[in-house]
Amino acid sequence: MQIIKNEFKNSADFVVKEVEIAGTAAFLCFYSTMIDAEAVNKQLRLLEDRVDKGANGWGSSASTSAEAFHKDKLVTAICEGSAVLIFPKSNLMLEIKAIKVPERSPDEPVNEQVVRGMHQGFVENFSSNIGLIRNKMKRPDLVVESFAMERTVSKLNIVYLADQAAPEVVQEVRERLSNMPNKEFYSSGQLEDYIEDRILSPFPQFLTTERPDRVTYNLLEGKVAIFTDSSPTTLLGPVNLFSFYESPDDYTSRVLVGSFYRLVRLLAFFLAILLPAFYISVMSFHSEILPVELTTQVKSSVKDIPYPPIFEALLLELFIELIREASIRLPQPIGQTVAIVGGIVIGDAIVSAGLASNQMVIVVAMTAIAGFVVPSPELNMVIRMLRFPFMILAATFGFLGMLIGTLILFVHLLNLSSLNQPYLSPVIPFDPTRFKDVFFRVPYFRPDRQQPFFRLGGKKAK
Amino acid sequence: MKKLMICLVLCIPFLAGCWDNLSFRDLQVVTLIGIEGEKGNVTIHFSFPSQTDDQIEYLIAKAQGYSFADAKNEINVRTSEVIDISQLEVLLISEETAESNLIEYMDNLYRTPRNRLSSKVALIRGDMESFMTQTNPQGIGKNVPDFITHLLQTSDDYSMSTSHDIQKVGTLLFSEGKDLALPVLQIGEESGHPEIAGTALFKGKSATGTVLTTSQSKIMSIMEHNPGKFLRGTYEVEVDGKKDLITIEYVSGKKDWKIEGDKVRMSYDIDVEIEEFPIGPVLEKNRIEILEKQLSEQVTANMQDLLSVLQEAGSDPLGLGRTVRAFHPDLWKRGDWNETFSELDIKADAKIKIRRTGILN
Repeated sequence: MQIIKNEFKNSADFVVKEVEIAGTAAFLCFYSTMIDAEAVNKQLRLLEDRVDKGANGWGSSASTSAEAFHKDKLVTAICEGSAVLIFPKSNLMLEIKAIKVPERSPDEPVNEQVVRGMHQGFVENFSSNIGLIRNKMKRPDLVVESFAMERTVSKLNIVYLADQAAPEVVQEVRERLSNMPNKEFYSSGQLEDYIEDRILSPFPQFLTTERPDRVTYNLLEGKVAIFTDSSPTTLLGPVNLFSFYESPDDYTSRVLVGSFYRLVRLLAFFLAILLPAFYISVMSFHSEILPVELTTQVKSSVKDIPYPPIFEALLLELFIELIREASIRLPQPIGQTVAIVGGIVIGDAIVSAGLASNQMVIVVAMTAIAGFVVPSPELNMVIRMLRFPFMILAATFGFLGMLIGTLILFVHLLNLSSLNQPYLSPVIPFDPTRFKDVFFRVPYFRPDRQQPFFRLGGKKAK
Repeated sequence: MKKLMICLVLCIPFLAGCWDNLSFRDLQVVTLIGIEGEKGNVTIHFSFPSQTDDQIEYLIAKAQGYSFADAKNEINVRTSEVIDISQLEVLLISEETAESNLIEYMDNLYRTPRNRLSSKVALIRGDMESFMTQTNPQGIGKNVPDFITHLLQTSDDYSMSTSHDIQKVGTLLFSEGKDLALPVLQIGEESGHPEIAGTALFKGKSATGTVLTTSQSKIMSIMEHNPGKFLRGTYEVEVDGKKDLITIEYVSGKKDWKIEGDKVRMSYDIDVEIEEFPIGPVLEKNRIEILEKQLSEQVTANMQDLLSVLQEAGSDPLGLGRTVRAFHPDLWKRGDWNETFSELDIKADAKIKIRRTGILN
């Protein structure tokens, strides 16, 4: 008994009790903070019954399993939250799974809300999460594969549709997960670092989501989902740039509306990256392209600004970033106050104080809003970061600089891959069957609309 | 290698780029330019908006130089900011200046890549200064360039005159088969602000001094087969022994030019709509035929008049030369087209058809 206690460093919530089961002495050990005592008692009673009846395989049931005593296994089982019954005489141990950890309800995630459709989100428990998915997709080819980690108990699970996902992609995920050098992690962001194709690229190579419906339709497209045991965030791969611009809203709204908003979002991508750079170029190099009617207005507002447009833009952009960061960190009621104060300062005071021009405020505001349109939070941050290099290029070289910047950006995107699949697919390499899906939300009336997203041959699914 | 790359990247901002920076803050946008004088002594008037206490005032500056570019550079001695003509709205050239080679004054505008090629060009009659400042504040407001731009646009819409931007002027100046025709502005005696005076004819690269009236310009746009949005004309007709005025609007037309040797026969089928006809119903007692006959005669006479004016000036704004060049090489090769044009035997013939009578019959 003391040996077992020592193994768990005499932790106060670790309990070892001597019990008698059907006339045999046994030790019952568990973490009192992790088990459901009621359920354990029930199991013990059932166990006695079965032993009394002399049933064969008395130790096996849906929540119990008996095996030979082994110290490592005991430790793992107890850490996972099971109660373990040890029979010293027969050298057997019986694991009773009756975990009771506080779990929240599957509410809609705050950062990925939709107007219409499912209002559910993942929780911190993998079994509940996979339950949510199986509930949406009742098919036997939904496969779960688990990968045990060495230094932490939590597991990694990959989920895919065997009939839909490309085998080479699944194999690639398996290999990367088993080749992880340090099998210890705390967040899915850390996991992403280990299995990404290129860590230093600003673009995310996995789609993260907390929405079961998003995972479901991505699985149907042949992607692989990676769940960590302790986080509601799921990684989906392989992705292309356009996956980040799809929102579940597209598929719950009407065809024309969905297509229109998808196009608007794609336009917002360019707007969010290039608009401030464009304004800076015009102001410092190419004023001839301003319409004549605008010149007097623009001139009167930039006339008294003491520094070049690039500083004006950097000042306002940094201010917007500060407001954004502050309102995320602060509790909601205070966050709103920050937004209001920021709005007043940016919108009005900064112009009347002569620190920035009206036009710059409009440009920065439009850019900020265009940046928030992206449905995926991680791409959103990338886009907001990318506009700074573009602004600097615009301030040094004007349109030429923007052109160079855009070229570099596209070369990078072309080189990028997600799980060895091209990042700009299906535009480059061009795949006509999937191409229209990028820009429009294609109607569902054809029964064969499911297309394996990452089989490059473009074979249609059954 | 890596260090070298980093150094190179860090050096990029110090390269050419920043020195080409032309900040909009330091530019003075000029929206109206007037050119007068002759080669060797060119005067340019600049009009530019300037903000004083939330009000926009149009200031005038004037510079003299040997050539256009010289005068343009000279102006910077008396303005606080760099004069920038890339936002030019209207280019005014005095009639006398236009009678010499026009390209001498416009070459600079084409050569600089920043310049706007969609600015309007007009000739002016009279004192240049009176066009630059507006003495009559009730008339048109302070924004003279804007007023002139819209004036030229409107007169083009109503086919009163032509309206060309700098780009089109360049095309026509160098075109051998078609001559340039530019609107002429003058200060109206009653209104006191710029008005359309007519259309100046060009021969080659310089103005001939002949100016068409606005009604001649209308006929010209029909003959050129390039009318504006609206083209209306008033004629006197005699119906049932009564004389009255009729106003017709051009609807559509067809032109047919037949060229045989020295003889050019231009026939036009023109569909019109009646705008005003106080005598009353048109669709009665063969009135249509009577009207059509009288109108056709009058329009034909107008065309014939215009042709004689054009031939006398030796200017071909109709583009007859282009057709000749394409289909009648013998005639084209006879010599300088402007002279050939003057000597041709050209007859015009218009057939008017009344297609619509408005919502009255």
